Amino acid sequence: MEDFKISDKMKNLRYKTWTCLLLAVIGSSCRKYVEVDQYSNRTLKYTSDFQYVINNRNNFEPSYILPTVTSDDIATTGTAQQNAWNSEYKAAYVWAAGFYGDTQTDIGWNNFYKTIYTCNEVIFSVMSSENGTKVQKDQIYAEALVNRAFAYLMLVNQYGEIYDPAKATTQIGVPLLTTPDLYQKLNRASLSDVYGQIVKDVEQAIPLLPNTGNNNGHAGKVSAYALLSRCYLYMRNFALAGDYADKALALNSSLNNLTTYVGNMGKFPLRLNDPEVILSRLSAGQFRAQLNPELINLFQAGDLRLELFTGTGVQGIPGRVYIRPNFNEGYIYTGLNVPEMMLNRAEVYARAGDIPKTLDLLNKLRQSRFTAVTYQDLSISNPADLLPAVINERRRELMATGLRWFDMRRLNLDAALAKPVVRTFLGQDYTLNPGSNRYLYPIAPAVLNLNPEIQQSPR
Amino acid sequence: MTRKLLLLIGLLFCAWMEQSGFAQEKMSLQKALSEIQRTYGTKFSYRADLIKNMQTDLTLPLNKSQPVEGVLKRILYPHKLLFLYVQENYYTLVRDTREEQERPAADQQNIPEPNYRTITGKVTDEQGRPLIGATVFPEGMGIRNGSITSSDGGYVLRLLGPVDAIVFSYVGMQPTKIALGKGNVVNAVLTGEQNMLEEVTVVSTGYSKLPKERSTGSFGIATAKDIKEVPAVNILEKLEGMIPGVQVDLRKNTISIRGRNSFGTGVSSSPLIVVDGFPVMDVDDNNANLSDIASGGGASGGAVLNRFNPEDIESITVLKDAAASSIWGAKAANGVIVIETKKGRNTPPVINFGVNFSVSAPADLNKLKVMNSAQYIDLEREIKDLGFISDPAIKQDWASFNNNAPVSEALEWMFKVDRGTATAQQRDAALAALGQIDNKSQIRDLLLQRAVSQQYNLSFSGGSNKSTYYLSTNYTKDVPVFRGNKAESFFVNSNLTNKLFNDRVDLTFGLNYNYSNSINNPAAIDAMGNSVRGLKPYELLQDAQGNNISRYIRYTQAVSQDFESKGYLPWGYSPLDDLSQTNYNEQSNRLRVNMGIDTKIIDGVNFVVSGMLQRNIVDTENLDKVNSYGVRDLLNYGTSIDPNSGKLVYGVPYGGTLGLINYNGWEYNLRSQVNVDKNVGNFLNVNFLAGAEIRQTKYQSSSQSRYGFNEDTYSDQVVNPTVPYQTVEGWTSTLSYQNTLRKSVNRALSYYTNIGLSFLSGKYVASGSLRFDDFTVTGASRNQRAKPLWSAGLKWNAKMESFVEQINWLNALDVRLTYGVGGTMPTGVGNQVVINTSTDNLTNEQIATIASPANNQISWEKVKTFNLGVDFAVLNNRLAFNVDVYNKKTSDILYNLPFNPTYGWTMLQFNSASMKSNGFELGMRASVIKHRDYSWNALFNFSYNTNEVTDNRFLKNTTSNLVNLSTPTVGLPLDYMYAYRWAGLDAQGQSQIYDKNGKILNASVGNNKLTSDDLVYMGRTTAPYFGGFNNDFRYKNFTLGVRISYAMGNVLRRPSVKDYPTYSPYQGLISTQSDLALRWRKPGDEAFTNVPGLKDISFNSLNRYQNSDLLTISGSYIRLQQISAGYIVPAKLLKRTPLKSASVNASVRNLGLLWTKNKDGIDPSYVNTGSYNNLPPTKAFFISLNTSF
Repeated sequence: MEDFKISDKMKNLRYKTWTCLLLAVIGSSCRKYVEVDQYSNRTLKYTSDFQYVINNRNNFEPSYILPTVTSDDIATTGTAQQNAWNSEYKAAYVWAAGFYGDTQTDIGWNNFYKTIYTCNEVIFSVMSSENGTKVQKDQIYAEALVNRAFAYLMLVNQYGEIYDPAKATTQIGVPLLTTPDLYQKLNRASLSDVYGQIVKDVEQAIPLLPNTGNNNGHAGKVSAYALLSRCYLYMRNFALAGDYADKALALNSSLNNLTTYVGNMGKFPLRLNDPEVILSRLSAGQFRAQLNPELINLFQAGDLRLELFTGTGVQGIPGRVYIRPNFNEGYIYTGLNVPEMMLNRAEVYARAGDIPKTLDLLNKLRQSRFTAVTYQDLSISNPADLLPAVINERRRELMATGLRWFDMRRLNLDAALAKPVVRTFLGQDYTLNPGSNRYLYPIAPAVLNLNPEIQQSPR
Repeated sequence: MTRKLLLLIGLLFCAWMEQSGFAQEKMSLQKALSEIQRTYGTKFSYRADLIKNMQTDLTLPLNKSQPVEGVLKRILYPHKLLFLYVQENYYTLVRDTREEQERPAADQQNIPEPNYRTITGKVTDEQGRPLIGATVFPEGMGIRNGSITSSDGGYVLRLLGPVDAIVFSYVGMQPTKIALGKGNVVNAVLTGEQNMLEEVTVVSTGYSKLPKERSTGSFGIATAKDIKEVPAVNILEKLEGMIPGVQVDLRKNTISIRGRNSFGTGVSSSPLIVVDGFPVMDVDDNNANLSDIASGGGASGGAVLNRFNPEDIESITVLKDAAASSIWGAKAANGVIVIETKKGRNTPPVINFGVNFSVSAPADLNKLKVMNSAQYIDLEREIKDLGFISDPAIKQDWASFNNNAPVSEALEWMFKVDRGTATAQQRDAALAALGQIDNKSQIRDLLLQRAVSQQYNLSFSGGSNKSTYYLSTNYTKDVPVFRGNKAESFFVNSNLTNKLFNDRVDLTFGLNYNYSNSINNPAAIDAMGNSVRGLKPYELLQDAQGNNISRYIRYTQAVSQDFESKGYLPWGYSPLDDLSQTNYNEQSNRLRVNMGIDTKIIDGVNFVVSGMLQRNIVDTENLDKVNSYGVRDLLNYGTSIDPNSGKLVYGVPYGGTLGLINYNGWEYNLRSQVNVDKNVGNFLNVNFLAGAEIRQTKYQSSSQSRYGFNEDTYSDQVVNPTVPYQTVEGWTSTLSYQNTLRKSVNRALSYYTNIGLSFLSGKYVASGSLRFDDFTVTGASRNQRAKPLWSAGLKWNAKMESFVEQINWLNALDVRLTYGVGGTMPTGVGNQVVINTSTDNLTNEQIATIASPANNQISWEKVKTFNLGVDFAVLNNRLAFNVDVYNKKTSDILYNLPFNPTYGWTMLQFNSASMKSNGFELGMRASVIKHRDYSWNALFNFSYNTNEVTDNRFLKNTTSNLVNLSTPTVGLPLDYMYAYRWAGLDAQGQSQIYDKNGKILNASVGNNKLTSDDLVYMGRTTAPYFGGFNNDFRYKNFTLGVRISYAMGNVLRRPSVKDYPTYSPYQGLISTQSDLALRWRKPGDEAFTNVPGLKDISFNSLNRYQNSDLLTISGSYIRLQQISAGYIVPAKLLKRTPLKSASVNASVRNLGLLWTKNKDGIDPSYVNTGSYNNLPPTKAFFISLNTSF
């Protein structure tokens, strides 16, 4: 050992050099080694990544369920049925002060704010994404604006006050988030701010959108117009509501003739193939309950909406039950559609006292809802009967979709149509008076506890 | 960061290169032998007490170019020890007794008398077979004057002086001395060695092998012999109770080391498994269907371990504390299991052949806690009388036909009376007849079978001084108790080593291949389960004529038969028919190839480049033939009748369904490492390693559903899942269509270094390690990903201190102290938005979901581990103890905390939670009886582990919901359990509980009136105390082993009744638990039963009963796991055979409990005895035969 030869020492030195070099090479080249792009788990980098987000209907379709429960479309009887309901359905049905326990989630609130978050991410950064054309980016951006506006309109009509054009600047709205910041303040914005944002977003989107989307899960100009029509109707700006309904109908006025499906409901189109759907939205789950006999009585004999879309003896529920979801993949459609636009337009004509135009629209819709044998044209001579007729048609056409709840809210401001709603639940009577604060949904305690700056809805 | 680290490594490296001091170091003789083994691969056997307390000087590092004999002479001769050549590179150490005898001899022989003499002879074993390579030397002369027997066992010994006797030795044989008479021919017959041999222990971390004396960490070791002791096919069963701190759950096929460190999101609790220096690749796919591929549920340790042939395992080392495992960095947070497979040795070729055969009967169905037919009918009657079930003959008016599901035969009779189609007498007679039927014997005979497993193992090993080889192959066939199921696997393993360039370069090559094939049929399990296909106790499989009975499940008999008459397929279900109609087949191919080049740069400095390539290919074919019930039901349900033509319209193409899943994963590892082993002066030895490695894991997978499949032509029909079809009930439906494609690539980069300093021949040892890991994590920046992890340890070999050395009763004592920081990388979250992409089946658009938002407040989860260990031995080393106490603190646990949904997220990951855990481990080895002909060795393990959440934000849930929760709670262990205080039933037969003041509350008191204070804390649900007690007895050629395992200190809920109808109308199966027969029926029953009655049953009433302290039992048990008997065939009997050795072993496993704390006779490991899968396994009988040529 002690008698190393010179050559051995030289050899050792050479080995040492090589070893050090090799180590250095292996070590330094790897800085970027681990930063390899993933196939299905990616960051939002390219315009196509944003396109994928916009393509995902699951990001935008989920909506609410409680407006169906709180509306007078439902009148449940039978203690067993009532007892079987979820606690939040029980509370919402009697317009209780609070709907949720401390740890319960409000699925309606969560769904819409999830949509808003997703849209905010897209709106915030799509314009700076890579590998996309200006046109592509614009369209993605515009779709996100429409989807965000839809979510805000539905939120503000559940939790906000009833829009009164005279008082909107001081009325309570909902927290208005327009960036994806996870730590911003959540104070409730005023109604005029929220509606202002909705109108601004949709108007900004319209020029950037194609007339219709690739499918009715995508927003096009037609969905933007339809959304503005609904928005202005709720804002009681009837002129604009009518104008935008016209614009939407100009792009899509298809109706399903229900006679085609008598005894043949297996052929009833699913939402993506349904020509009536302008922007697809789905209820947050199913709610099967007895329909209000008062609503059932509004249907004339031969009305296929009653025949095809309601049934008796469903899961032991007494009375008639809305069964259209059975043909709709299990969901209630809560989005924008052609009949709603026709009814919006008709309501605006009715409010203006235009008898022929109102009847023309209503009859056009009704023709597709009856068998030829039973169909009869509506005829109205007194202008005062026009608005109730349109509202009744809305009740039949938009049955159990929850849209009735938003109508009930806004009709509070029509003295002739505002009336108390009375219902009995588990042996107790409840009344919802016009203008009551119970027309506003309470915000779940779990949401308030995490951000106390959010104000509870007035009770 | 990297640059700096590299510079550091380089500097350190160069610094050690400059050191050229080769100094002598004083160390224990045992340690010196370990060093020799490490350097030369030389193996030694010797009596345990032979080299006790001996010190020697050894020049470290050892120079491999010097012959090992020279080194051995230098260290052994001064201690009057001889090393006897056994085989190439294998020596036996014996005491040199010649001096004592030489002296008198020298006295006698004042006059030198030259006595040249040549002795010849033959050395044989007891069977007269020649022993080749036996050592023969003249007594008192030392081995230098000796000789070695040649291939015929003959020898020639030239004596240079007067000698009294000749000594013969051979490994595994008793050294024999034969007095020298007048004759010049001395033949020797050697007999088997009966003394216990002890081998030097070397621990392997996967990166390096280290003598145990020089390691500071906490290790647990199972040797090949230990592993062979348990004949089970499953390696987990082999490890059970063997190593302190290692907890095995055979039912879940999981293994855990020192309990839980974290309750974080997506953090695995299974240890890292390393085989031959590289981690075993996981099946790493987040597709739920694919994760089922790895039997045992994903990447649990158990499933991974079973991909290796137990016969090929040389040793299993468990790295438990930070000092032991931190060299593995982020993956080591849950401990590491290092497996070394067998390598060839420098021996003549050895062929080993072994057969294992095991058989076990199906579990006793009478042990199922289910009701008999009469009891079940009685329950059905009460349920019907209370109005929970309505008559299936009554059509719902909105349905186009009566689409009610049928009721059982007994209920049908009851409804017949209501309908007026049968009289009460007819019904009672029919029910009485049904009540006599028991389907258990048919289930046993027709759906179950004897479980049989066969294993054949053949290995071939050997080598020369330049190369070694080990080749093995194994075939295993498993037939489980359920008919229609089987599995087989095939292993090939080869390890080759070569020394090149004057022994300067060591080349190693290893190949490991595993093929497995399993066929599954769910019919037997379904028939015994609680699904709609489950059999009621009176439902037979075959009628008296031996025809298979089929029953209608979806619609009533009348409706189904009506459809059948219209051309629908038969709609009945028979489990026996389905045995041949479904075939779930999975085939997997797993290949590991590794190569290493170990080059000596200078003495004591080696440079190692090694790599591993792994491939996993798993193909699954789930075939439901067209005649299976599932497919017939699918086809029928998708068939409608055209209202105009009356023709059948088929919505689903006619034919079977085939689910195809293909998984293709591959991984490479590349590592370069420098090992330095040098002495500084004569007081310090430095063992240093530093290296860098890269790893890439990729997988690609696809799954498809095929419809209209014809197995004869192996063809299918194209379907369009976006086009709906009309169902028989008039709804629309679409075919569930699975067509997923996945691909993933992940990379990792690591730098690591480890240094061990051994002062004063190992009296004091210090070690430290440092590692950087960097992974592919989408959305995380580099400084979030790469973090250093480190550990440090100290060891004091107290026995080497002079003041301890004198304590004679204490044979060994050392103290270890280690501390380290381990960590887990957050995955799937980071400072950028991450999306998951897929395809929308209806629109064919590419879609994405935002999986996680940008969150800057994310970093690593950290586990700080402190370990104190003491090892000592007393009573001449016959009783040896290892004691470890540890404490772990985990901080920054990544947890999904509630977030305001207004921001779009109801939960968000933050790393801020914390917990702590601690434990105690005791390992004891005792040589209770030690005698030439008989012995008793015992191994006893005891482990304790507990944990506690320390984060103040996890406040105890204040509602009574706590009873069902498992969410982390501050101040409580992760597996806490609360229960209601049971107060018996009330006069209405419903639950009552005590509140915190002892007031009795009935079931009508809502849960909102209760708080968590009204509950009582029961304890933990996993056993904090566990271990094993293994005994090996030997009498001559017979051995007897008894293995006992135990777990104590936990509680569990005894399942009593499961599904009561708590609402009406009740739909679905009624449970069959035997406790239901004890239910309350009429006022007064509450005096003797606690099972709530059916009338007015509410969710609260049932829930409070199920979660009451009444049903909480202790989980403590002591289990007799195995008794085995072995016999080594005496060589005499093998005389006329080509066999070198042969042994037979017979074992019985699953012998049942020796003791349980609970008084209900419940086996705590198998509580849920309502279903067959949870029955305790029956006794399994194993026979194994091992031979070598």
